[in-house]
Amino acid sequence: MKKRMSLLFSVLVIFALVVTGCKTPVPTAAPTTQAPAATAVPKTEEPAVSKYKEAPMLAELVKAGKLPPVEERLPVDVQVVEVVDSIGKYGGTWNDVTWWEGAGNIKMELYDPPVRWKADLTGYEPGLLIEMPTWTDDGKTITMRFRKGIKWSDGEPFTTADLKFWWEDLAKNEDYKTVSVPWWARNSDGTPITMEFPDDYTWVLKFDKAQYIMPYVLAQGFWEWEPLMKPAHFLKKYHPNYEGKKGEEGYTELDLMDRWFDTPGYPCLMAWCLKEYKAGEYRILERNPYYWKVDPEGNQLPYIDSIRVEVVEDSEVRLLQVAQGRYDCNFRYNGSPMDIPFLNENAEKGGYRLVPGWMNGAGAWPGLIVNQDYHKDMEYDPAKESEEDKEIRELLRNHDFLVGLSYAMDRQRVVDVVWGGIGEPKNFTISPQSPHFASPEGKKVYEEWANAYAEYSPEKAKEAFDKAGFKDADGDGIRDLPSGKPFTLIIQLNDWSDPKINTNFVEVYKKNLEDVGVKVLIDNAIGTPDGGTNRDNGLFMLATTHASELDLWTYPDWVFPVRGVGEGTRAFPQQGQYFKTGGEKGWAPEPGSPAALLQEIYRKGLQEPSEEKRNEIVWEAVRVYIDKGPFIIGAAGDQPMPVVCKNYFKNVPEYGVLGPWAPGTPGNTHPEQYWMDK
Amino acid sequence: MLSYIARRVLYMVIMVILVSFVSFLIIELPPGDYLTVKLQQLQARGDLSAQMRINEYRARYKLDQPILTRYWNWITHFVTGDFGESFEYERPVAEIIGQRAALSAVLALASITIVWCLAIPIGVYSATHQYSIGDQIVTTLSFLGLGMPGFLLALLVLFFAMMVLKVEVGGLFSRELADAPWSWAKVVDLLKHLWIPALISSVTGTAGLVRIMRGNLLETLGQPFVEAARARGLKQGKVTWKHAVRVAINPLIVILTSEALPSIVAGDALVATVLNLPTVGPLFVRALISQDMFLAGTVLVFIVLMTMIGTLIGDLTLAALDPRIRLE
Repeated sequence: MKKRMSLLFSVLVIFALVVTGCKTPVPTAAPTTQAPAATAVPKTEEPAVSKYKEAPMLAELVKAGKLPPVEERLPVDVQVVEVVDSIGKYGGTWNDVTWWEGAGNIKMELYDPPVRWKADLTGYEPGLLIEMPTWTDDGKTITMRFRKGIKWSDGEPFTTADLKFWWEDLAKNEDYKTVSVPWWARNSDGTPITMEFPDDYTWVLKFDKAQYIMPYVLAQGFWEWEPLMKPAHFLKKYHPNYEGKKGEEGYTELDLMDRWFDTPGYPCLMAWCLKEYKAGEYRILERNPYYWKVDPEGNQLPYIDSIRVEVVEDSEVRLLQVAQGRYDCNFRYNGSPMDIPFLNENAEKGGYRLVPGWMNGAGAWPGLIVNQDYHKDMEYDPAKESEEDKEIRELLRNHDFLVGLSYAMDRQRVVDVVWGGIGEPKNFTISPQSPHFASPEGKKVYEEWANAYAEYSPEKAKEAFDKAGFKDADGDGIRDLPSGKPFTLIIQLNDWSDPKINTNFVEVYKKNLEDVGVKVLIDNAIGTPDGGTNRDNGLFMLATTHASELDLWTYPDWVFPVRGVGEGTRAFPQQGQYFKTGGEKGWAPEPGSPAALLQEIYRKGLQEPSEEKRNEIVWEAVRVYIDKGPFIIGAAGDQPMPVVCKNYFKNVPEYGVLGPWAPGTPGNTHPEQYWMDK
Repeated sequence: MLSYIARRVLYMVIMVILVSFVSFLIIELPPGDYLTVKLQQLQARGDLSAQMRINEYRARYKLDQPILTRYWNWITHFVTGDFGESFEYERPVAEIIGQRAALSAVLALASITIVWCLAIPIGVYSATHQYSIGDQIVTTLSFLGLGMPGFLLALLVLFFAMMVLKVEVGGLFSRELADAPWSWAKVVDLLKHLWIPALISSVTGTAGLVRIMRGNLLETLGQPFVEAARARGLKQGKVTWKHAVRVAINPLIVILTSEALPSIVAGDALVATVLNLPTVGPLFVRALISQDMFLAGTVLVFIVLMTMIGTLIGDLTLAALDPRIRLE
């Protein structure tokens, strides 16, 4: 009995150990919330009539003396934002959802760079700047002038001193590794450019050669301006060169604090700033009392008080919740055009509408990249390469072979079977909505590009294959290499944008190719890292893709072979690497080859100051794609995207492109003028 | 007795060190690292500058250091309670796990309680009424429960709750209360949401235990001592509950301690992912997929720790309950 008692006792001891051992750390203190304004406000004198109005929640803080009046908070150079439909009412929380911790889809709603995409996506306009940047005649010096009197969300003025702090104390500071000199801020030899800050509102950038693209780079997505948006007064408290701890420890702390989307209270310049963050669960953003935009009637924006974003990881559950009307307005719940019928069915019950006019901007979805730099080994050695591999590469580069691949594709069937009728059958282009093709002449070029070799014709495909020497040599009904060796076309199936779409598409296309005598093998790389690695290094023949891009001068990847290995090069991984490294690595394009022509066109475009002329230069590149390509074969494109907004959610325009993130949609449509009528 | 426990605890420490190292290596094994995954995501949406800033990221996540250095830094800090920083959440691992651990435990304890309260009586019933209609129904249902993956059931229940019952699903709290401090209303709200995960785990969890209980009890009921007890005129209920069940329940105790404890740390992760529960399970799965080293490693170490503590408790409890079992 005694023994059993002691046993029981030891069990209890272990239990106690477990309980104390796994005591959970107490969550960090809740972020400070603003104290509620006193309910009984003493009657103050009649305030001077201001031409600006503000949100009730801010008016209360002003009355309580916690905030200066609205006209003092607004800058000298206020930006007046046109509203889409109506002047809004203040208030409310915009509930939204994301599928990942980084919540980049929400950052897009807070888009506010110095130069920004216009709401209709036809080009750029000034944002934080008072006017578009100006260039010296040689194109080497760019001057940008900011609006006067803009303040951070804590009331400190935003000046070029903040940019200077970023440039000198963060970017160029070798000790601080998590911020470095951006790729666009380098001279041709790789050294940082010269930046000057002559006064509080003027920013001068000096390059060693003409640079006409850089200001537009800042307008791309949230990620180009984000690393520059550094409130010096806040960060100096942690910077080792100022008030922070010295040395490594100080930089670690600085890095921890310097995350505007994770650190509550981090001063920001956007309409809403981070107020609360619970990792893996939700974020709450609250209106910036110093926001520098007003509506045409002088109401300080934003209309909506706060944004609450929750993380829902499972895509099916997210879709169900969206269909239930759980969110006020959602642009990117990472949904697919395939959800549209289901969402329409539940619209009435969920009290929402699908905002029309929102497109994916897909030039090819799905599409196939035909690798112009095909090889088999990661360590490429021309001496060791087999004759067969060389021949395959020649075949993949053969214009007639490419045309054959394109004619063999039954695009209407892809639209019907893979997409359930959504989208247009078309060949690869960049986004149909691209400003490069906005003019009537541009539209013609676009139409020609989209329709080139897009017709389904097994006969023409056979003819083209024959012309390329890709014939059946041994009479078994399967086409062989021109030398007579048997050939299997390998299609890499990957998870670029949507594995389901890619899988079904590849099945349809395999059948199409077999009908014209091509033996096909599908290399399923879904869910493996190999897909990306092999694609980046050019170790594939054909690979599935989703192409969408609006501006080729800030993101040339889809058309111009100018990116290095591992940087998202498309059809020319090695020849792009050559361009990128200035001939150090990769393969030199042969004179007169498509890659050489495209690179030449790209160089010309970079030196062209006129936006219009640059569009014409894009058309020249399109000509190369039509005459020598197609290097990417598109099956379908221009699908609409589901944008789900409650019926009371106002001022959402009925036009936008969600596929490429570069244009910052829906941020480019000024979400600060969205409002909720409830 | 005490020396036995001391020895086991010593083994445990060695084991945890080994497991932490091996799991660190295994997470590191697939080609690429956290950044490969991250960059692929960024690349897919056209974030070119991310690729240009790869060295900034490497420095931030300290991926520029060799694996042994990273392991050593992690494990030496681990002992002091600093589990490192999660790559994905950019927050200390202790903070992320901490805010979820309590709910994980509540959920696990709730489902264990339900499962056990259901499984033992049903198992006993099914064994004592072998091949009766009731037994056949129970058997069919438990095979169904065993065969159906929990996440599939979760999706079905979700769809049903949403489309037919028209209730808000997903998560453990309503949106209005999720951010609020604890209050009576929040507890009620939690209970309103708890029924779905509880239902699912009781369906999938009960089935297996019912089968084990039934099998063991059937075996025990056929043994001579049961016969003897019955021959002495003891009531049927007393024979079953006081004599047979006490013997037949031993394996269930082992299961309770060695499986229930780790499930408190990271229970059914797939179901929790589908139901969007803020527990540790989904966190762990995500961390493994994205190679979020320190988060995955920490959860793994805790699972191992709990499993070993559970086994030890199981052994001790068995020894205490069953005089036939010796510790030596």
